[in-house]
This record gives sequence, C-alpha cells and structure tokens, in this order.
Amino acid sequence: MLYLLSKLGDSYEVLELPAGGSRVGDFLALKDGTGDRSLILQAVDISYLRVPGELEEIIRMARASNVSIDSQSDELFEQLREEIMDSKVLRCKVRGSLTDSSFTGNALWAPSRMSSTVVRLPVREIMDTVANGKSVPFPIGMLLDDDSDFFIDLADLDGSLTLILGRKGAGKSTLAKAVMKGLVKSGAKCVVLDINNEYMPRSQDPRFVRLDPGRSLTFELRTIPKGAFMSLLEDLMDLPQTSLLEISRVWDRLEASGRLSFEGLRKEILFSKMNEYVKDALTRRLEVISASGIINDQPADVDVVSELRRTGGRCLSVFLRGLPSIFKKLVIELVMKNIVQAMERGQLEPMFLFAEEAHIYQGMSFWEDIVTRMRHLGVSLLFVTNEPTSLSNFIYRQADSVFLFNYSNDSDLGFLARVTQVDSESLTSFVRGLPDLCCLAVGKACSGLPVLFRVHQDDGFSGGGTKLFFRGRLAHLPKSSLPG
Amino acid sequence: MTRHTQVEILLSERIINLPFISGLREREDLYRTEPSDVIVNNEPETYDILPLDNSAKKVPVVAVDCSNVQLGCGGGFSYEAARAAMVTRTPKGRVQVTKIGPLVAKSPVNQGSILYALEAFAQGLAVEQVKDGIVLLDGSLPPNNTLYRVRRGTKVVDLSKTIPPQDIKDEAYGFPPEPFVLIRRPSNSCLVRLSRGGFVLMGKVFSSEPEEMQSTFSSLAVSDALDMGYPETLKLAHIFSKILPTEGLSAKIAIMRKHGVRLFDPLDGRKLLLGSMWG
Repeated sequence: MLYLLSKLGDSYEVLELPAGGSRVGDFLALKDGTGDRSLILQAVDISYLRVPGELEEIIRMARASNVSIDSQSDELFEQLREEIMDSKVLRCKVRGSLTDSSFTGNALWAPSRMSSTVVRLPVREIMDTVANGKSVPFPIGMLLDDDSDFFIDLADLDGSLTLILGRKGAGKSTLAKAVMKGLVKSGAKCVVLDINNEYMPRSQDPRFVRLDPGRSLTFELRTIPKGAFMSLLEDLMDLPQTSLLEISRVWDRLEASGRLSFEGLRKEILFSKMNEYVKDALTRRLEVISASGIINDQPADVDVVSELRRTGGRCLSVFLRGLPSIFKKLVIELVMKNIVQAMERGQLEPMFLFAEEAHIYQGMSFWEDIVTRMRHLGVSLLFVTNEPTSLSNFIYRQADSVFLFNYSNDSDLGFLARVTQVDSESLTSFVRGLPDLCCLAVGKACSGLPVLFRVHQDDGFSGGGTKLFFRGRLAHLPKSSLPG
Repeated sequence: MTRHTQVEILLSERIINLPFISGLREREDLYRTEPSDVIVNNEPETYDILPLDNSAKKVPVVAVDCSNVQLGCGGGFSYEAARAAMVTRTPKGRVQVTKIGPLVAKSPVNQGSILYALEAFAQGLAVEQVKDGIVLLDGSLPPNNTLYRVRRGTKVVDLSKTIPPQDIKDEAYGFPPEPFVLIRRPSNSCLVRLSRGGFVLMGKVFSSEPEEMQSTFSSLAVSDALDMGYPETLKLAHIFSKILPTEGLSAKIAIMRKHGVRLFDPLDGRKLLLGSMWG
C-alpha cells in the first residue's frame, strides 16, 4: 500500500507499507480526493522509513545474529514490526498531471493529504496516455518496471538532435544499431560515421553499404568543388596562405583548360616555376592525399549521393577504424560536403546521420554548424559518445532526446545534470545505478517523461562488444592454476 | 537536620539560607527517597572484602530482565505492553535467548502494571530451567520474594544497574583493582567487582554465608562474559526485553486490527494546563 507522506518543493514522499517491489524510475499516480485529477510522480530515490528506536532495533538484530532466539510473541505483532522496519519511503518528482485523461507537463496544485490515494502506474500505461499514439512505433527495448516492450516513435527522431551517452561497454552502440536498423526497416536513409567498423550486419543485406575510404569510398578530384579542396588543404592540412594562393592559381589554370585532375595538379606544381618552399609544401601534402587513395582521378565505385537516392531504406557505414586522424577528417569533410551540397540542391531526402565519437574526427564548430542548419538541410543527427564533455553546451541545449547509459563518475554526472533537461537528483539516482544495456531516455523520444529501459541486444552485427583475452581461456583452465 | 544523616544538599549557601528554604528543610518528608537497594541506617556497619577465585567452576548462568511501556488509552482502559527476556549461557559458551511477550494488558486506568507479575513469572521459569547454576536478576527481587529458596543447587544473584560511586583511583574507599566481593553486615548486601578494572556493582546473593557469596560471585565471574565488569547475559536480557518504539507502534496497530481499539496517549494535565514549555 502506498500513502502520501509529505511534500517538499517539487518532491513528494510516499510511504510504502508493507514494502513492495518499488524501484527507482517507477511512476505513481497521486489521485486527488476529488477523483478527476492526478499528479504523475516518478520515484527518484528509495529510503527506509525513519522511526524512533530504529537504531536500537538494528543493533539488537545484529546482536541476535550471534545467538539462538526463541520468541514467544504474537504473530501479528511480529509481522507488523517487520513491516514497519522494512517500510520504504519513495522520494518522487512531479512529472506532470492528468486532468480528465489529458496530460500536462506541469502542475500548479497539491492534492489533499487526507483523501488522496497513491497507486502504481505502469510506464506503458502512462506512455500510452501521454504519447497519444505513435506514427512509426519501434520496439527499442524492454521497460524495467514490467519487462514489457518499450516503443519509441521513430518519427520523434526525425528532424531532431539525439544524444546517446554512456561509459564504454554500457550499450551505446547496441542502442544506436537498433535505432539505425529500425530506421532502415522503415525506409529511412542513414549514414554512419563508424569509428569501430561495427555497423554492418553479419548477413548480406543490400540495404547496408560498407564504405571503405581509399577503396570503395574514393573521390574523383574533378567532382570535388574547389572551395572544398582548398579548405581541406587549409583547415585539415594547415597549408600556409602563400601556398594556398599558388595552388588556387594552378587549379584555375587547369580547370580553364579542361585538364583538371589530381595527377595534372601534381605535375603542374612539380614542373611550374614557384618558390621552392611553396612547391615543397604543396607536393608533400598532395603526396599524403595520394597515399590515402581517397582522392584520385578514377570515377568513384560508390557515389554517396547516388546511394542515398536509391529507393527504400539504406544505411551507408563509413568505416573509419585504422585511418590516420587526418584522413578521418578528410573523409568526413568530403562525405559531409557532398551530402550537404546535395541536400541544399534538394537532390536528397531528409536523412539520419550517426556520428560516433564525433569529436575525434571533427571540431565542435563543424558539428555546431551542422546542428544549426540541420532542420533546414533535413539532417537528423545522432551523436554517440562515451565522453559527455566532448560535446559542447550548444549541442546539449539543442538536443531533443537523450539516451543515457551508466555513468558513475561524479564529474560526468555533474556535467550531465547541468546540460540535460533532467533534474540533477533524478539523473544521478537513475544513471549511477544502471546495469549494462539499461538506459534512461529523456526528451522527445519518450514524450518528455524519463523512462528506464533495457536495450534489445541484436547479435546480427559484425563488430562491437568487448573483446576479452581471458573470456575463452578461463573456462579451460583448471581451478588450481588460478591465482588465489 | 534530616533523618538521613548521609544526605548532603549540594546547593549554594545563599539559596539554602533563604527563609522559605530553611523552613522547608525542617520538614522530614521533604527528603523522601525512592526505595533503594542500599539500606541506609545509622547502625555501625562492618564488612568483609574477599577476593574472587578465578579458578572457580564454570556453571550455567540464566539472566532475567523485563520491561514495559504504556501503549496508551482507549475506551476507558489503559493498555500496557510488557516483555521478559531470559538469556542462558552454558558453560561451553552457547547463548540462548527466550523472549516472552510482549504481552499487552488492558486494565482500568492507573490500576498498576503487569510488569511485576511477568517478572516474577520469568524469574520462576529461570529457576526451574537451570541446575547447579546461577540465576541473575536485574536488581528487581522484592524483599519478600521467596525465589531464593531455589532447588537443585542454583544460586540467585541480584545485580543492580545503579552503581555506587566508583573509586577511580582505588584509594579513597580502598577498593582493590582485582575482582573482589565486599560483604556488608548486617545487611548482607555486596559490592562486587567481577573483572579487573570493571565497575564496582551493587548486588546480593541469597545466602548468609560469606564463603558461599564469594564462591557464587567467583563462578559468575568465570562463567559469563563480562563487559566493563557487567555480565553479558544480563545486558542481553535487558536488550532483548526492552520494548522499542517500533514495537510499541506495532503493538498499537495490532490492537487496532485485532480488537478494533484505537489508542491515544493519555492526557498530560501538566502540559495541557501549563503549556509544553512549562509543563
């Protein structure tokens, strides 16, 4: 049974006597005595009821553990004593109110303490009430309160900025893959900047395309806009202004004569008269680009824009593992420039971009620029990272939905509490204790209510997961050979 | 002057000499004292100090204690909960606790307590259970109790939790630091130190023979675990008999569920009339 105990600020305390199976994250409906309105509460912490004499009781229990005890007392009395000692106090936050089955995210009233009743509210029930139906429902995991399927509306990710955060091994990629798979099944186009080469299904599926920079993913110099190439040399390869001016002239000359090619550019620089230092700087940088195989004079095997224009769901995974940092930047720069250009020209449908550990291969200003223009371009961004501080405050402020996996580090939790839309008490309480693959969803994807769920694990992908040296070996070792 | 020559009033001279105070001091009933384990009189007192024998035989020890709480009033009756605890320690060191209660008594308001009846019952039960051992009581044996006529060679020892002034330096009163028993004549009450450095306790063995008292305390000292000189069985009996607030609350709810009686705290006239600050 649940009873309203007290209210302090936006927190309510609810007594659970006798103690049941309440968990952090559970929703409760605090029904006012009038019966037509309820406050929706969510348990953010569970503590024991403070009763006079509890310390003495506990000390006595400790003493009792060493001796044998024969108790001649009333059964009901003993049962009640245990219930009182075990009773729990649920500290709850108000998440909104229901008036005549209509949900609002705030409440400006407090229920009667004497005549109100508290009942447990299954997450599924409250989500159904709040969400008012889903246009593209997708089962993403199981709710922690009753193990029923948790559906998100994929349409809620459309045109939105979504963050997937958690320490390593907590299940971020598992969730990202599940979302990506759901999007592709629903006919959406996705591009994954795949830092660990893990977003490809094991079984052959033509909807999933692997892009290996330098092999299946190359760019013909002729198709690259001059501005993009110049910015590549300037921003990524730190080419000085003088050298930049020189190569710009060469580029214009070749383009005007219809001889623009990567080899032509190299030769022109090599044999033209210019300052030796400038020539050397340009030659070395073109050598690096040539060695990567990313830019050449061959027509590309796979054209990113053409692939994305095919009908039906499609996911292009840009494999970045093993690439030197500069090439990662180069590839992302070129891929994104192509995509953005095509979108600006209206050649591409809105698409979803998954960026794993985005800070590794591009600066935050690059991403902030995309985030600023994402709605107009038609790009829905999903950032996946284990380092919450790697994303800027600007990105957190723009985030529509956040999926948070386990963090136990105080500074990470403190940072997240400042930048996400969840109050710090709820966030710390929920996230600190989350087991692997369990996640807190907040924001648009769960209709504004913080929901805890376990991600469905999909073994159909080629990579991911933690590889362990001892996992296979320990099973075969005799126990006597193990230390200790 | 009072009839208790040992009583010293620890007030400043200025207050004592105020006219109305000095007038009151002449009234003998002003200094009524609660019944005490220590019988104070003016007869000359003698005493023997005997050392305890640390090679005494180990015997079973059973300690008994009781406690009660007033649960409240309801329907013109007063409700009280009382519990007894018996703690047995065998010579091998095994400890067994038996809790009796809480018993809840319903009685007309201000009509006494079931505590004493329960205590006498538990003490009798303890004496029945033990053979050639020691029954330890918590300074609660009334003078007219017949418990000391025990069977099967068991001794009854009554130890009070009211401790006499402790001689920290072991000089002023001449208490030795080693375990001892001081037997006072003619009252036969004792002061006893059961362990080296432990508190000196007031107690009584129901025997008139000094040697028997000495051997009983010696057996107790080696048979029970001692905590600051106080027997652990007696401490456990106190711990397990005490009715804690959670249990008082449980008993109240149990009465409500079983008998439909809702209990209230009795009215506190002083607090009602004088207010919470002065009441």
